[in-house]
Amino acid sequence: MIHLDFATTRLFEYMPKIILPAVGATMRMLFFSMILGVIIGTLVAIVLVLTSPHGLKPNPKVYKVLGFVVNMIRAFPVIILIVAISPLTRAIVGTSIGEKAAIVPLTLSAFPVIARYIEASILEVDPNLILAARSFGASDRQIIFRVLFPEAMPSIVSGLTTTTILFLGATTLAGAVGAGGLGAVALTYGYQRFDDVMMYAIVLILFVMVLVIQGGGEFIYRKQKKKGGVFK
Amino acid sequence: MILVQNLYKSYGTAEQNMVLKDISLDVQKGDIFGIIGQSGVGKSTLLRCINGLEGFDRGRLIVNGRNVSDLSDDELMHFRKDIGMIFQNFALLNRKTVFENVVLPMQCWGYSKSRVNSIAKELLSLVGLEDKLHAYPSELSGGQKQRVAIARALTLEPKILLCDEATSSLDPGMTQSILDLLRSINEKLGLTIVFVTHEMDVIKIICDKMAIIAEGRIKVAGSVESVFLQEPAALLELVGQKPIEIPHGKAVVRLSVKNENIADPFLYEMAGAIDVPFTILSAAIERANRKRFGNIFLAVPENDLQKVLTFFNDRMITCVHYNYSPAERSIR
Repeated sequence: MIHLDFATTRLFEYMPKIILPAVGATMRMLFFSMILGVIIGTLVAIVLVLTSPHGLKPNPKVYKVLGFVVNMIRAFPVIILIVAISPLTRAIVGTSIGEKAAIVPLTLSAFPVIARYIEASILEVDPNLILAARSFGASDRQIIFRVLFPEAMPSIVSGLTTTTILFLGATTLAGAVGAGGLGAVALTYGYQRFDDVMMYAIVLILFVMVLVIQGGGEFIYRKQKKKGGVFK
Repeated sequence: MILVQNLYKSYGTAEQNMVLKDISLDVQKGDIFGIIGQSGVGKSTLLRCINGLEGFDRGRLIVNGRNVSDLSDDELMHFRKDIGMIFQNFALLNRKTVFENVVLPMQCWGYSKSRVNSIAKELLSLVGLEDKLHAYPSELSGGQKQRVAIARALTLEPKILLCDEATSSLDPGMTQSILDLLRSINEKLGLTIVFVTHEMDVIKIICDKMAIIAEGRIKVAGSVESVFLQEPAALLELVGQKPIEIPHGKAVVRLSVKNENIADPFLYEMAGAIDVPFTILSAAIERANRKRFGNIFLAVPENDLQKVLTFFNDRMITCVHYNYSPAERSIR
């Protein structure tokens, strides 16, 4: 049962000292893991699009191996990945606990999702555009960057919005294993101390963050879509 | 300009996957060459072989004096510069403006900005869209979209333009205006045009020469006038025309009247010269590409047949005794 006891909650006391810094930590974890995830995910998506059986340079071997790796990483629950790759994390950032350390497993689990979203968005582009571009002698690089990405952009943006919200949830999960951030606060100061007001206040903060990300994503999507003059 | 010799293409290895069989064509510079056939007979595949978008198994394909199968990937890119292509669904980038779409090929080839601007503006006024520079494709009609695609296809100054069902998703009025545009471009720029379509009207309006393709094979090829006057089985099949029924006790003659004779009062003269009570069974005068020609079927009494044949053949109008036999007309 939810028991909101406003008399004993330490929410207001902890607000400036603990909760606000945790909001910052969550945002930083999300921001950096998404940026890195987009960079790696884009590169992987390009290779997938190039080498797919109907791609610009079909290469079944590369496509299958990469597809296998991507699917395998996606099969790992984020929390398992955080534990499983801790030696790798330590090698990269020098420690396996804390905010910086969480970015490594978060990035690792985000890039396959992002790569698949981008791949799917690009596959939706009218294949005749590729034929047309080839017919005027465009190179593969030009087809990818001047035709496919620009045309797929609205769809990529909406995919990234969904991924970002998904990984907001994942950052709180990372909090449970020592990464800090809102998840950790909700767990240790809320749940474990039976301070439900604290816990739900943090859920509310996360909810607002979801709204902001969704709203921002939709705003960019709308702007991108408007560029085609079709948005009503 | 385009020479196709005994070209074969298949997807996979099985014989039934053979999409093009023993295709031979000769397209001369400045021709508007129509390739017609029902959907799924390999017309578009043939077109894509011409600019190397698809490979083929056997045969020879020489375009602009170059053997297409000998080209490396890099050479192929340069080779395609000389061949524009337009599509049924226009293949425009929806998120780029008319102007951005048209300049795209030139940007890919690294043309200077001033050159890009002047060529794009010139071509957009050629296709009549100089006031739509900053519109997006979704704001244009189908005909206007195809005009943008034509302008884009012409930016690299190609020698050949390939049209893949380019008017098939347009209404008749727009089809006519696009075809008029293509003809004027053909005349102004001396562009060779290969037009793949399933619409006979398109062939009649714009093409000088045509080929009928069915089951992956060329069934007939020649000038539009000669193909229509010959009425080969493949043509009748395609337009769904039934053969003429021969009235009892009569003989039927087919007059194939060419453009140069069509204005002559030959029936009037025949009526005056020989006393034959003829009736007209069918007469279709085609208006194709500024020419008029057609077949006229006359029923005459059997014993007057020779008189009629002699009369017309003396006047250099092809006249034959028409004897329908189902076996001969069958396509296989």
